[in-house]
Amino acid sequence: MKRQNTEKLVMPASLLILTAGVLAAVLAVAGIGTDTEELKRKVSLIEELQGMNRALKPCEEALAAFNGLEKKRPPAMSAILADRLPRHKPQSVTQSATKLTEGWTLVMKEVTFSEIPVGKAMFLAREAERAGLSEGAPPWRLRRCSVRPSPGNPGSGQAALTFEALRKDAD
Amino acid sequence: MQTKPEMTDMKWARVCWAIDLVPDGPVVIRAERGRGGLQYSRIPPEQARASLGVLPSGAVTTGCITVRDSLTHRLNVPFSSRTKAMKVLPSMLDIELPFPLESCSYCFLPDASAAAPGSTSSIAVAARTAEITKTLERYRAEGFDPMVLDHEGLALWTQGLAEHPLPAGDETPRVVARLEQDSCTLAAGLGRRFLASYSSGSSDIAQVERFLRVQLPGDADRRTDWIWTGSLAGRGGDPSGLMEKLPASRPGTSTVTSEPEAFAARGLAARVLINGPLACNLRSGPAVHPRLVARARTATMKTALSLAAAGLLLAAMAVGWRAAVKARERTLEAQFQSLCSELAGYEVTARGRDAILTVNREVERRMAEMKPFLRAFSPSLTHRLASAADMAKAYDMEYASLDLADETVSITGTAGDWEACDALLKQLRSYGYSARLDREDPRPQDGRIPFTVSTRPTP
Repeated sequence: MKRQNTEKLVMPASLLILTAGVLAAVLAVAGIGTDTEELKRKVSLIEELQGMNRALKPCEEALAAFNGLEKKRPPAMSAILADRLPRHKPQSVTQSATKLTEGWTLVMKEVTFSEIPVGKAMFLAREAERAGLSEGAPPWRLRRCSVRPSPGNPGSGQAALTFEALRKDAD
Repeated sequence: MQTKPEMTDMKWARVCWAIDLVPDGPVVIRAERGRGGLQYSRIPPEQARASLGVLPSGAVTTGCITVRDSLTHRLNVPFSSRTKAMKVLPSMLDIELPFPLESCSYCFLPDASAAAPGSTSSIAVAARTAEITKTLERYRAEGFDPMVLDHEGLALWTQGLAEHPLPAGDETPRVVARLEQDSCTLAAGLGRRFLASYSSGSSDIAQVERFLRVQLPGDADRRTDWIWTGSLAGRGGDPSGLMEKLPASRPGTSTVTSEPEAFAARGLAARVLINGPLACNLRSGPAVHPRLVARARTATMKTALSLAAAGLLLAAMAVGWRAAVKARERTLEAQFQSLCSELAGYEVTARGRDAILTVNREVERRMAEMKPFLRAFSPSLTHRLASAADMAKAYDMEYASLDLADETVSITGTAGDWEACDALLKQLRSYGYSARLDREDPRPQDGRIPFTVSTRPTP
């Protein structure tokens, strides 16, 4: 009797399982579109981040290159001026500084000459940029150059050279 | 009680042992499905009893209830749907029977050959439960317990068609007559269509002719196809003289089957293995053979388990898909958060588009901080300055002012000719400056052309 009852229950139970399985499959199939959309959305967000990462990479590599330098301070501009242009004293040298990342500071120096041969001004710019490179230190880089040749003497005049360099103070 | 279809359907059977009880002792035929059709072999009863002790899977034993102990009756229902017809057939049979249907074992065999358009024709085969019990007891007394209890008349008829086929459309009256020591059994029909069966313990020719007149009315003039079988037919004639007298009243061809004493047994075996439309099993209800009950139960269990397995498989696939999607989502989410944190430099708590906005702000801030580092690797401004100076020399230009930065340029002065200004503009544009050239008329005092080259003001 007990066995017969069990046998009677087997078919309804099986049909119940089959129905549940079919229902689950139908729900899964119905959800495929939503699932795919959600996955695509997540992938597109990741691709957006990867795009940002690609844009950031060169900057990080440049920073890494600076972090790898032996010296973390650029050569002194006063020494360069004194060494390279001993006969041309600048009218003024102004400095400004901006804090950057990982302890680095952007230093700007504007060197103004009331009268200097244009060739000498260009020489100073080249020498200032070379000085840091030869010493394994952060180089100066010419950011801006403004020359006003004297009337009647186009080879000479007033010049303002703005240099920038990166400096890391000791930790 | 009506026989369930699964007790008749023997498609699974490969071997069939048919036992026909005759006065000389049981006739046992072993039939097996082969490439060339059914292969019959006659087995001595003793050997059969020993072999059937342990019946292998796929083997069936069959026997028959005699025509005398059972009945066949044609029922026509004006429904083309067999399912509908099957609902009313028991009631129709109940009306026809002289005893209660409840005391019978019966089944309805579809006979499409006799159905008029829009109707269903069936042959009802029935036997009283008491007769079935007696028949089974006779079998058991001989040491057999047939799983299928077929109808003798139908077995004679179908085997007659199998061994002596009729061409399609032939409507010749046919009588398959089985002559045994204790009985004479007839199965009559027109062409391939079974009409009725008759059995008599005596060899009263008048009774037999009456049966034939009823079943084959108006066919006395037509040639009748006589097929003789049974143990008496095999001995070259019967004492009652039916083999001579009946064809005399209804002339026609007269054929004695090969091995006539085993003809009925061959018919029984063939009906099980071929499983044709007239297959029947009168063992129903409590009389069903335990092996068939067990087999039906196993089949039900197998079906149920297959359904359950299919359901589980579908559910597993659905769950697996969800799990795979969730896992992929988790992986992408982890990758997203990791990238967010890496780019922002801290753990970003925002999610989705908000996180992107946060990270973007942070990346722009970091890029602005790191821009001077990247700028240090860009071409030096001194090259542009030198180039501008070289061009002044080469093209006879005098600069009144020169202002040069990474993104902007402004040069004023005078040039000896128009082309010089163009050359300077071209050079500056090659450095990426979006510069514009303004020229004035040549000065009257020296003919030099004042010019201004400057980057376009940002709109």
